[in-house]
Amino acid sequence: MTGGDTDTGTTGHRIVCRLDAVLADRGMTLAELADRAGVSVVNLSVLKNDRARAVRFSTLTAVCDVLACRPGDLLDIAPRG
Amino acid sequence: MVPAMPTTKPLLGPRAAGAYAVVLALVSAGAALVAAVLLVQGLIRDAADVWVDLSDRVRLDLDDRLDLPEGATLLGNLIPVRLHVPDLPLGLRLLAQSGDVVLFLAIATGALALAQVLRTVRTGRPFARRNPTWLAVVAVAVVAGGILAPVLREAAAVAALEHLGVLSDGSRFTVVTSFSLAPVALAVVILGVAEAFRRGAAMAADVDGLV
Repeated sequence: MTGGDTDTGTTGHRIVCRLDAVLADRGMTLAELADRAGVSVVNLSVLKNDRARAVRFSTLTAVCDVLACRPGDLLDIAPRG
Repeated sequence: MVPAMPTTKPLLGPRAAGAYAVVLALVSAGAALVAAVLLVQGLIRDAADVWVDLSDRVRLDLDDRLDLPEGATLLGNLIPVRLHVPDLPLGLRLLAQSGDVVLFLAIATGALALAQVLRTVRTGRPFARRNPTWLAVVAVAVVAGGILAPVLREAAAVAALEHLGVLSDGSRFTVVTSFSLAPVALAVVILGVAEAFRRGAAMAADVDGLV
């Protein structure tokens, strides 16, 4: 399906990241998460600000391990329109 | 912990790539200038120089006149020489210059295209969208300089000998048609590299935004 068919706008998807909410819930900073998960701050920033177009399973695993959450806690899908 | 991506030492670092790009740009400018000078020469001079081969008979005559020591002799069927032909019409003068003009234009174009590729390597974008096209231009330049230029030189030599009226007897001068597969082989290799760059560009687009 094309982006227009699924209301994905220019990004091609409707996935939204709730990393900032989970970080706030855990009282953790992005830099701390980056340090503990072994993922660069730049990449986590891209993920947090919904600028990522794809996520490695290894990245997701590392972030979920540190935040003690499931992938569904971090990612959601925005409603159409 | 996410395993670190393996890193290797670059074969061509940013600084070297930038330096080569500058050198190639200078080579390109110089070759373009030479091509322009050659073209102007063809326009303003009333004569032209062409490459022809002396025939076997001339070689044997020359061998006699050199009065070489016993046992020493000139070898080779053909001896290439540059023949100065005066009072040529404009069309023939331009044809006589065309081989060298095409060669230097091919050098200028190929060097400029390669410089564009190296510039993207310097800035860390080796799989830039236009790089496959630039490499294809290099391949075309190799074929033009390696095949078209010699053909034009030979055509000019034949035309000049006909103009002088010394081609028909075939006893003093001759023009040998040569065709080398090396430029074609090199062009195929460069096109292969261009295809690798095209696929690399597609892969780079695939991982754009990957975290």
